[in-house]
Amino acid sequence: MNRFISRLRTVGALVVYFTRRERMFLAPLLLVLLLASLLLLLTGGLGYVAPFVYSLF
Amino acid sequence: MAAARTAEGAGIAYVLATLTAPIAFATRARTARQLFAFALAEHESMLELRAAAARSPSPERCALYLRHALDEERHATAFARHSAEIRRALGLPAYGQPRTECESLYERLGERSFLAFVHRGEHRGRAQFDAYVAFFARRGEAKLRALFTALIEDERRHESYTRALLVEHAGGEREARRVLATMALWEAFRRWRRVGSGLARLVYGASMFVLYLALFPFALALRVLRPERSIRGGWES
Amino acid sequence: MAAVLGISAYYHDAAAALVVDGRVVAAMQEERFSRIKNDAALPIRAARACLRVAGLGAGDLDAIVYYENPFAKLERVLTWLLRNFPRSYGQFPRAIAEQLGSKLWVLDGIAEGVGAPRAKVRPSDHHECHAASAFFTSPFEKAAVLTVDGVGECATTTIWKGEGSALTALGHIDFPHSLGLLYGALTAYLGFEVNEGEYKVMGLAAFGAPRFRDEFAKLLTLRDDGSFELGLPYFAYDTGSNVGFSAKMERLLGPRRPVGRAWDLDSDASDRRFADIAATLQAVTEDALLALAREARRRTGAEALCLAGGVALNAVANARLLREAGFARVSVHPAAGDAGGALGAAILGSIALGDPRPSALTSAALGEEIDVAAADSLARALGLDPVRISDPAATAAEHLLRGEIVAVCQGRFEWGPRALGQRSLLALPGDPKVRERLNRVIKRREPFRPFAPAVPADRAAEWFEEAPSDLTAFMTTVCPVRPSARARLGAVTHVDGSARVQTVTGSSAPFLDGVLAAVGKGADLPVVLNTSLNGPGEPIVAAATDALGFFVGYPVDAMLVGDLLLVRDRKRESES
Repeated sequence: MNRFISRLRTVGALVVYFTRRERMFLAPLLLVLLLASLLLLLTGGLGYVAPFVYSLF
Repeated sequence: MAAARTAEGAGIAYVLATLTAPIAFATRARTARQLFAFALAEHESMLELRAAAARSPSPERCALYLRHALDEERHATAFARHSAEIRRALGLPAYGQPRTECESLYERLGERSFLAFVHRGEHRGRAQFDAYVAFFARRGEAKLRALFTALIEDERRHESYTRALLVEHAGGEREARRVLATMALWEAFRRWRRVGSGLARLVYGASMFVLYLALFPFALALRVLRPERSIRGGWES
Repeated sequence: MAAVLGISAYYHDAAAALVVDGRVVAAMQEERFSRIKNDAALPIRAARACLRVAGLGAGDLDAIVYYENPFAKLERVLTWLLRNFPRSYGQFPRAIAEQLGSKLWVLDGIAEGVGAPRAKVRPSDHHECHAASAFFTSPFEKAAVLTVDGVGECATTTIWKGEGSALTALGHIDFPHSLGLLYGALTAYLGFEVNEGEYKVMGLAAFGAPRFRDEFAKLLTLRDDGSFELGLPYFAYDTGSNVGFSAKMERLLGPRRPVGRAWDLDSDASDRRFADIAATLQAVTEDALLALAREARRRTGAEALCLAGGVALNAVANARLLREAGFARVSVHPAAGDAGGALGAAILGSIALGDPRPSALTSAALGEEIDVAAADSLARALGLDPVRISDPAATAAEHLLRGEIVAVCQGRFEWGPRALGQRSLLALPGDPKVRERLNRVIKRREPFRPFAPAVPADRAAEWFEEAPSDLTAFMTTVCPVRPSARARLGAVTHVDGSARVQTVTGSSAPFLDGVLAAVGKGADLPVVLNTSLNGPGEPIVAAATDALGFFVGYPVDAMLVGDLLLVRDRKRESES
């Protein structure tokens, strides 16, 4: 839970950073990024190489 | 019964390796790639064992893990060297030094489960290498046969000390078997997740393509608001 | 009176540094713990080790400062992707995955990993941290500060004025115009690994002549105001994590050198050509750095120069800066790369909380102390025969004088990429056979790589010109070896007659100082060859486990861990 709140704080700071004047036009891009983040949540996985496992091919 | 069960596991590993070897080592290029994949596996094993040695409270176990780690490092170098030789003979650049991350499995699993995991890996690996020795003997490739034959010696040693340590640490044969069975499940779950993450990667890639197209209006906006001449170099302010 | 932890992570060389009450208490790179070279992962182990050295807990920290601003970085990455739309498609998925997957959440990751409240973690500025690491650890009250690297958030090159406890920004050059990325791209072109191979390119340069100036003029243009511009079509920039050269560069300079091919500068004409390319790269980089340094002098009027950023690791260029840039003194932080940013961040945080700037750095021994008792029990468990001795320095010298290669692990391990007597491999400097054995069997490096000498600071001038200086204490420069001394210093003199000297004092490296004194009595030449204690492809040894792993794995003749001596039993080895 703490982790989630902490990350919300970061998201808040991110929004503040991107809504400053010269970066305004990037702000809607945050929506695109948000979608990408959701996708990333699904792919958080293991590397292709594992210790003590010799891949068959 | 334990011996039978693990022999069964090794039996499966041997059979699978025998079946897949013709695919895995189909061409010289594939052989080089496969050998380098083994180099990476050995390298990551080395890192895991070094981490275990650094954390283990007992100097005796630390010494065992350290020697094991040094063996894995030697194996990684041998695989990488053979891979590079084949690549060079094909006129291709070598894959470079093996470089991997480390999952810190000793820390995550605890010593007992770690020993079981390593034992299963060495046991399976030895069976796989047995299959490759036979395979390269049939193909008449003396060098690669010799490589795997030499490695099997080390794997046998690793297999036996890890089992002995596990029995000692678990406090008996029965408990050791239980831990081994638990780790078998854990590994199966990892394999499943790996397949899943492979698929997810494909989904991610496809979705990102669509998202990339959505960047088009922003790219236009950027060209208007921050023109090219601002990346001409030289001092800013 | 504050305790501030500085962190660098996720790009190159993760590290943690701790400043308490304005004193640098500890600084360590994560690679020394994880055993992964140039490990960029969050340096949680290094951070915990720093706290252990200080005897503090995470709750005692007043602030944790990260060495750059992740939002500014994200902005630059996005801008670059957009600017290169649609060509940037290839980089898009991975760049976004890297940024949104981990890099954006670095401050949260640090808070969780260290065990401190998120409110105490704050970002900083990449180049400001480099500048702080250089200036605030230097002996100068006032100096010009020049930071040059691949890229920070957006800037690649910055000039500052340092005065007392203040740093004032005076100018910057932005991405993609970057000397670090230029050197990195050519490093890749020459078949080396980027961020590891740059030293090798620098060593290779001495074997060639700068015959490609016309071609390089297309890659790098110097301007009258000291700044520079890169020929962008020749590079394949992506979002900054991988550096590349484009097909256009291969048309200009010829096909790239394949990775992993063995070097043969004696009989292979194409390898000599590559050496000439390396030499030209070195020459134009030096010219650019000189122009920048002169501009820094013009803008600040200072007599002293501080350097940081990855390009400041180029010792050959530093020597030229000292000679020609017009400054009376030049100082380079021992961990000039991204690791140094962690220390800079901690110092900036400390000053912001009201503490004075630290005193000048005299020793790089900022790591964790080696556990001699643990080494003893591990050695016995390995079946070795450790012996406690009364005078380690004298014993080391005895073995060296017999022509042996001796590994030493003393006290706290070094901060930065150089071994300075705390985790070193030592040998006498005269015998080329020793150098060949070291290079071939132990370190397994390319044959053109030189070794470096260590000499007492008060006698350095007898054998080396331009020594001692502010740079030689941390091996950040090269010095010409006096012609009369070259015969006796064969193993440590590079082909161009220079050596990357370490000048040693009792306070910078007391054990090594003792060894040099003893060797000097025995051989009348108090100079030793000093190379880092590590095998090929691994980070420098840090703890007892690594040390003993090295002794078992590589054929050194003897090892000294604290007052513990291990001698290789060749007879027993040949029997087994």
